[in-house]
Amino acid sequence: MFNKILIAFLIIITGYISTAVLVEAGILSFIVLLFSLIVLVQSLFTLIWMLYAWENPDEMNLHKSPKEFLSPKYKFSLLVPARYEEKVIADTLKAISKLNYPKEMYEAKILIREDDAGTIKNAQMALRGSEKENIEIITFNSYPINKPHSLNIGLKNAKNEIVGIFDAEDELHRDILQVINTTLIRENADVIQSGVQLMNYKTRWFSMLSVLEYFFWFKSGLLFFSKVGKTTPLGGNTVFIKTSWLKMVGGWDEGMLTEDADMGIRLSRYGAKTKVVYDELHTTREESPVDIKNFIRQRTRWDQGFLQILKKGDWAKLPTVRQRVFAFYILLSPFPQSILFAIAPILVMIAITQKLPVPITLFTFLPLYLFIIQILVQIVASYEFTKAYKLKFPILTPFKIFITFFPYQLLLLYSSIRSLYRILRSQYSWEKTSHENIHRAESKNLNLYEYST
Amino acid sequence: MNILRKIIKNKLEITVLAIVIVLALLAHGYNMFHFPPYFDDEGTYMSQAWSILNLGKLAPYTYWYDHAPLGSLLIAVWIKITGGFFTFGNSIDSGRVFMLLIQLLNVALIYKIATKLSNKIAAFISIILFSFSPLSITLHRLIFLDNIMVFWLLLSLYTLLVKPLKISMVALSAFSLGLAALTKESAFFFIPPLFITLLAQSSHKNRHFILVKWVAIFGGVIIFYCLYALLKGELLPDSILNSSKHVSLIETFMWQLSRKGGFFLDKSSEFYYTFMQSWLNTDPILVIGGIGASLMNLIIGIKRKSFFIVSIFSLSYFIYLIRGGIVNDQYLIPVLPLVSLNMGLLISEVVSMFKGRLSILRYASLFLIVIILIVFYSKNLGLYSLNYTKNQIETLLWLKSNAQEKISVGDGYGLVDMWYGNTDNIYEYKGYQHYWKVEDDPQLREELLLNDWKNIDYLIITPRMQRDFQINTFPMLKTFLSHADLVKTINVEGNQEIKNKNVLISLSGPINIYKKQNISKILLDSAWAYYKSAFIKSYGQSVDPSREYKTTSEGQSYAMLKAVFQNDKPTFDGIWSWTKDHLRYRNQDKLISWLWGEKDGKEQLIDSNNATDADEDIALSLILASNKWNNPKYLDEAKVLLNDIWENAVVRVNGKYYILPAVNGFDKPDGYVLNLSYFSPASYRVFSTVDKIHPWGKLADDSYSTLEELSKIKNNKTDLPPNWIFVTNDGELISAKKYMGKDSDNYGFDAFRTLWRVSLDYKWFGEKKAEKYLKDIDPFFSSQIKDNKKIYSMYSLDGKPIVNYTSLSTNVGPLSVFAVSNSKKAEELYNSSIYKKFNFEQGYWGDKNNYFDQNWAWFGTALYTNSLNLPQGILDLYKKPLLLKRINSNEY
Repeated sequence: MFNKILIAFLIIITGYISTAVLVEAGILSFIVLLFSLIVLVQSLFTLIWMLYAWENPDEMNLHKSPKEFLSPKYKFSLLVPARYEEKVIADTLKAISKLNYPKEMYEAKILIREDDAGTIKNAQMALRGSEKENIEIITFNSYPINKPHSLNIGLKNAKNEIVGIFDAEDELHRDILQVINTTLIRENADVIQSGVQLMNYKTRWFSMLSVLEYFFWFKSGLLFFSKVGKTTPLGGNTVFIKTSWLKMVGGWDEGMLTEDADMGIRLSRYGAKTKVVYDELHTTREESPVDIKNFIRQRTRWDQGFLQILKKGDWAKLPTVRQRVFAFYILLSPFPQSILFAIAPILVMIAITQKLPVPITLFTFLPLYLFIIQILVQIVASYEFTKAYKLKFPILTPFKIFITFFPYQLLLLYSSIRSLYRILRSQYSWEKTSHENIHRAESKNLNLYEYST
Repeated sequence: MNILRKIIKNKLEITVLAIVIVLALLAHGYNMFHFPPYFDDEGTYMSQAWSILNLGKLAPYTYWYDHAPLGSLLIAVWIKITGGFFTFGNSIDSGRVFMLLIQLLNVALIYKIATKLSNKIAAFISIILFSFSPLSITLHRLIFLDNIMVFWLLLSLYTLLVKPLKISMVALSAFSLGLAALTKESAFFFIPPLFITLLAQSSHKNRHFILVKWVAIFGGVIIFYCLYALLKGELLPDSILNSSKHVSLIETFMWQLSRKGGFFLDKSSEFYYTFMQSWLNTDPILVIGGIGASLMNLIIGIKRKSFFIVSIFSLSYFIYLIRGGIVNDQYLIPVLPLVSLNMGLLISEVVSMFKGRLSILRYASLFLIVIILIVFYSKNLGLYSLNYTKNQIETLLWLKSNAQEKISVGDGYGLVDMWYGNTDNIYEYKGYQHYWKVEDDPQLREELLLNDWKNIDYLIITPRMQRDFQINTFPMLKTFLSHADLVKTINVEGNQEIKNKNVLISLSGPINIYKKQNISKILLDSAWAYYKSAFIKSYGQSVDPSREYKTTSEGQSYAMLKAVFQNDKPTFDGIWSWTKDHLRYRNQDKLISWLWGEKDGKEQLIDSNNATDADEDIALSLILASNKWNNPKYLDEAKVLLNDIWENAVVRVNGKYYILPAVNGFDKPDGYVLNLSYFSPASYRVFSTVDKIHPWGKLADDSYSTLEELSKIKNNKTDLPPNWIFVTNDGELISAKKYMGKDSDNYGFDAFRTLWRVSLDYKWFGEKKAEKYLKDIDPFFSSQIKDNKKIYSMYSLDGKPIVNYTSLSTNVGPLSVFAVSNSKKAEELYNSSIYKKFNFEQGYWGDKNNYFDQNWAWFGTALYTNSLNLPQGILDLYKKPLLLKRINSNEY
């Protein structure tokens, strides 16, 4: 009730002010004001979800892993699609085999296409001579060549009630199945997304911001969208879904570039209960793209994938208006932040050069100021990130973030434009990102990642 | 259901709270339109709201960042919502209703804060103190930005007390603090206590984000305020920009910080004065109790966080107050909720020591406290009964009906009411203006007042302004005051007394309305003042610098005439005494010798001969003086003079009387030399009322006859009088060239005075001959203006200019003509040739050393502006000479 009154009040005020501006200051002022308002709302909204995890100190523990594990109840089928992962596959298999969960209660399906002989070879070598009888390599020859297709093959072969997805390059925590088992029992959830975290924050100039993006997205963003928006775009791995739900929705959509997000929307549509868990101790560690080219490719794929889902229209069939609005926002989110980021300085310039009324000029500065707040928040987050993962916090980090924030936004902007271009040209090929096992190299120096018993 | 259950459970609390809040609102609201008196600043804030709504600017006058803008913006919104400035009465009343709303919000916030920090008992005590203290009621009723600032401040504090401390709450807190600073800059001094509270209340889990958010948002609000100034080019001071004069946010801020009020313990400091005189006097309980409680709570606060928080809030603001800056009554406002909270918390802590069996004492002591408050505060019931705004309202009514379309200057409370219906830019608005702005706003001075105080019509002096006028210079308004008359004193309040008089309340009382004098009066006054300083020695000797500082009887006579018209008795007496002492030594008569000065190295009488015009004018001035100052002595002296003039300087030729220029030297064997500018028919008519022995009336008539005759002689194409003429023993008028030189036949520096004297006769007595004589001359002067755009100083009687210049004094001639014949031409000539040459600052026309010009410009102006009034008594005597018949009537 109060919210409705507030919204009605805001609409009236906005209407009044915009009419006044239109009449008093002219059409240009009105347009500039309108765009500034959109950028402002977007920036504010971004800030809100970025900080959602820290909003209420009393609730912060609720989204962490359980401190004590309940005894294993659920059986898991872990799907690990791999393509040209010969460098990392052996480590991954080793990690899976060492999971702290009864061997008989989980199985792993390594999904490799037949034409990827190198990976198959290395995987088979890794399996040889060890107690990995619950790990199975499934090879196949069918089309299309993409991740959702592999997953669907895995799903066909999955015998257990919970399907978990990992990427071949993932470094998964030993206790992850204990965490998921306990959470499933406690929360009675249908879907659990556990945190995924990029770790190589020092590799490239854009690495820290990329790492922070994951940090915010998995720690805060997913939580916000699932709790406030009742819609969760799932991540590509460390996601656990009840097999029955997967079968009900008919598996992954093989035409999708971001099948994970698509799956999230579809599960939300049918009312699956999703729980997000982010605990620095149990996140799955990944590496960010090694260079700008790969970074842009990855981004383009994500942005394009989101647009694809938007086009597909499942989001419009979500049960409530709120979910639809949020899904729409999420799917479009790569665009507002970067495009509006580019617009904001232009608005200021228009306002100053065209000598618009001072209050309107003042208003155009607001989005810019919010970008500055975003930078400050990124800086604090970089500190929080290194602290949480017990990493070294380079003293120049704040300065570095300050310098790289704007170029990074330009990268994102470029990627989103590129994705739009590809959508318009109907280019849907999968641009795979190459992995160099850097995240493992970087974290090898640290005691943190010891497998606890 | 849950909520309902909760309500029932809290029924007692809610009932008591409702009662207290209703009583609080009553205490605030009852009589709030009448007490305290409308304060200047209230009007300023209302005028800023008016400006926002009507002009789209933050302030009607140049906004110089002296008051942060948010308060006025909120008032503007309030006015917009409630349907205008006059919904609740006058504009100040409407603003005061807004203050009532703010009071309600503040009471609610204090209640919530005290509940969060302590318990309900503390909360109730806090709001009771906050709401019923006479000091807070007085200050809260007034439209002060501080009251609005307190709301944001309390909101900022409250949001930090909500547990758990969420980031959104911190954002709200920072934003509120930002708004507080945008409402009143003193909010800055609450940054340290709020920051400490923030640290104390925040969880280590999200502290970093909280701090960044708080700083970024509060900083953001301030940055945007500075950005606003920057965009307007008004951020940096001139000294940095090296540019032309403009307002500057930083400069104003530094200026405010730099205002010194003196060391707080010094009895002459602002803090000491306000503290003792205003605060302590009105409510010692809250002031002393509050400071004491704050100090106590600091000690308790070593162990108890909540006591520490309220204590540092209160104490840090007191540190601000005693920092040695300026301190006004309203500076106490931010601390009122804080001392109330401190006392609330402390009292509640003390009474809660009564536990178990003693708990009855807890309620007894609370009851006792309430009784003490009632007893103490009931001394100030004037809050609810006195009407201190009646004079102010009455003044506005008077102005509305008497000073429409006039520029009146007064204090802020009247601004919006007087501006009602105005759509002009304030700099072009001929209406009510603020007294400080008139003095200090260059744009207002230049555009509306044209840098001339004479463009102000009314000055309304309120008690507040009276106080300011004592302390500050106000050069423009004080100049105005010296040329203004008190036209109305508004005092309809009667004698109302209140026991504890603080500064705010002492600003009530009668209001005086001053009206600018006639501009001609101002002009003549200042010219007279200048003339006295430049040409008259203090003991009454007038000197002519152009004649080696000699004194003439003419100069003395001019000075005496002007003194009597200026109602300047001391000067008049001084001149007359000096004249008698130095210039009246003739054996045969009591006439005045005409020349005094340095001769043979010694100041002495140079020529004992008289000058009849001076004798005439002195006699006239004496008669007027006797009438004006009701002193028959002057009249007696005049009669002596009149007798001697007639007996020695009037001759009869061929049945007609002529007045001679002097007793000696002008009676020639073949006739008499005459100066026509000594003919003064108006004076003769006045003389006839006091001197019945001599036929002054006949002299007046004969004078006209002479003038008429001269205008008819063959070669006189202009009808002008010549400077000199000669009357033969046969009564024929011929040229006086033989005796008086070549200019005798021309009209010039002597003759123009004839026209003035004739014109005076028309003005005083409506003399038909005068009218005809002057109207006959009009065509010549009119043609000169038409052809030459000016009137030269000398003409031959056939109309040829003798010189190619014009002068101030001779312009009085044509002015005297037009004043009778053509008022439009008179106005044009007056404005272009005389008025324009007047220097108002100094009080002279044209060449300030020109004695003759200064005299005749004065006489000309006085004649033209009808400032030479013939007393009614003399006119009556002239029209109805005492008839013996009346003496014989029934009255006997």
